[in-house]
Amino acid sequence: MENIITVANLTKYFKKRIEQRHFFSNKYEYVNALDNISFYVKEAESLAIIGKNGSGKSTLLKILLGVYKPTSGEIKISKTINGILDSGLGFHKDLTGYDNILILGKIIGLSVKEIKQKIDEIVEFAELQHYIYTPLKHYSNGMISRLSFSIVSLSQAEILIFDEVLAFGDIHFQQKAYQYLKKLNINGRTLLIVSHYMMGLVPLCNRFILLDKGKITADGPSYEVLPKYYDSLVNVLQFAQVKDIHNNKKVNFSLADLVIEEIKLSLCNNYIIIELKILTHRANEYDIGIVIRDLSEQNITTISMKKNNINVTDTIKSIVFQVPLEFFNIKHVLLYPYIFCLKSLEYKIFHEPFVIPLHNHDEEKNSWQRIFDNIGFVNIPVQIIVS
Amino acid sequence: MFKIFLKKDFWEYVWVFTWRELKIKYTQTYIGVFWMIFPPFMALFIASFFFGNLLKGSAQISNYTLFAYCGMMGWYYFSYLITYTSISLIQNMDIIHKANMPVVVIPLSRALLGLFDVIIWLLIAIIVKIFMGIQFNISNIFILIAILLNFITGFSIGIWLAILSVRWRDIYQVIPYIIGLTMLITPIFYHVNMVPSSLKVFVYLNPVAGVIEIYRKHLVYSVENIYSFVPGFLMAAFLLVIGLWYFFKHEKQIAETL
Repeated sequence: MENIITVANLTKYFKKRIEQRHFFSNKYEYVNALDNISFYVKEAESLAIIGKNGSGKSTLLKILLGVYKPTSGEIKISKTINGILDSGLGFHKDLTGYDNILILGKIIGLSVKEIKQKIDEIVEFAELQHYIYTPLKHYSNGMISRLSFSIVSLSQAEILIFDEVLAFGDIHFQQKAYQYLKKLNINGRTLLIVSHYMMGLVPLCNRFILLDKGKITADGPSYEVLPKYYDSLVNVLQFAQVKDIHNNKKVNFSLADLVIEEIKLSLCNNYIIIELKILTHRANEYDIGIVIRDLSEQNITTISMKKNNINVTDTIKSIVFQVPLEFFNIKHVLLYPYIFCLKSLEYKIFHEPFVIPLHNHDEEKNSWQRIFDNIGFVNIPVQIIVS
Repeated sequence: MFKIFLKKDFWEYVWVFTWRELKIKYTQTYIGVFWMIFPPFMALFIASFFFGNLLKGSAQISNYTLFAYCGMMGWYYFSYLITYTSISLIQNMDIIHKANMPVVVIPLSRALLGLFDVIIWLLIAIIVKIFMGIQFNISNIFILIAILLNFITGFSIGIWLAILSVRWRDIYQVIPYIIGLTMLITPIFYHVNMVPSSLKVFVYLNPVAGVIEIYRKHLVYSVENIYSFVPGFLMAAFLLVIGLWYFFKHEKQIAETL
């Protein structure tokens, strides 16, 4: 396979205003949005570019599309490239869906003839048959992002670029879109995708690039890059407030109350021992457990302190979990410790769902989903423990 | 630099964007495109009743109504071009930020949209001319060239201001006042000959003044003198080359500074 995109020593500076002292005197400094990046993309590769906000993902895509000029460095693209950097680009709220298809299609460089041939296909893919003559101001965000995704994905360009276009779509459409992209990729199209939706990216992309502060910190398949990505996020996502899942009111528990200080891992007789060291400032009754997920953030299993509730009265307390090794047949897992304060709640309500395996009960699944939004996680390379 | 104008794809961009501007302008109005005939009728009223009868303009100049109407037509399109092309880049910021397309398309489509208005103005002028009983002449055809000159002068200044206002937003704050002031020193309601001869040079420094003169020569007075175009053409060509050169020179920086 030949390289169809070659990026060599690409650097992009931006001028950033750091201080506005008075009307005419502003202080500026230069920021490296991209710092000496080099990589190749081969034909029929599907590449995901991931990273924290402000790590330079969008700037890279903008330079590839030719919107920005690089400060220094070289880019060679040998095939037609097309893409969209924003859902609803160039859409006007007063015009109908039909008109906007024509406009966006033209903005991304399709010919009018081509758009008119495909317009039925676009509308059908976006599932907007009944709304196509409605002004765009009556559309929801999801409908707009569906429409713009459909237009771009039906373009004939060899390389397609997507930047968070699907952020507003519902799960059903996201799955459909990712399946469609997979099909395009199998047929030989090259994809460059920026997204934070790992569940879609992991099955679709065969190569990941992790950007951090304008530099490529990892490049490779998902199981090599994603652990590093989650590692970089651990510092960002600490324990937030946990909500009472049944009444949806805040429990008497906060970040200041309880912090996980340390996590120790060891291997013992086909069990992995996870030891959480907890620091509390207030004596309370807590219920502590761990949710284990794979890299695309799908649940593998949940472990909790089963029958006995832990009454944390010391300032530092160690809690030990035993996880059978059979759960770790994949290379990496994400560990989501969770903590509940039981002081103001009845024991029974809380305890049951911990015992029952997650995937059997839909109702519990929903309530669990809400917990997941509020807990931090720790990325654990299982390989290291086992070997 | 100017090769882009030879591409078929470029003109398709222009077509789609002009159509978009037209749709946006008249969407959710009851009578839609028929609003286009409103400004020329207002101009006709002002020319004939207000300036013609009340201020006695018709006493000094023959065919005063059409005379003033021509001035307003030239002025209308010129001020339209300056105001709307200079602000067009700022209004379409999101497209410029996120798509790779020729940026000239945006001001150009705005300018072409005004051409629809001018055609309506021209049709009404012809109807008025028939109504006033003035003879038609072969030189009336050259009015189309006058419109072209009007377009080029306005558009060139417009894109120049558009680029400047990308960097300094002060520009488009000032534009309405400048337009209001230039209107007074432009021979719209009066004849150039009324200006003292020592000040005539300054009147002709104004690019619209010449265009309006050509409008009048070929629509009202039917002068069969093609040489009258020469200064206008030189002026327009000069402005166009300077304007486009300045635009293309800064085109790549627009997305980053806007």
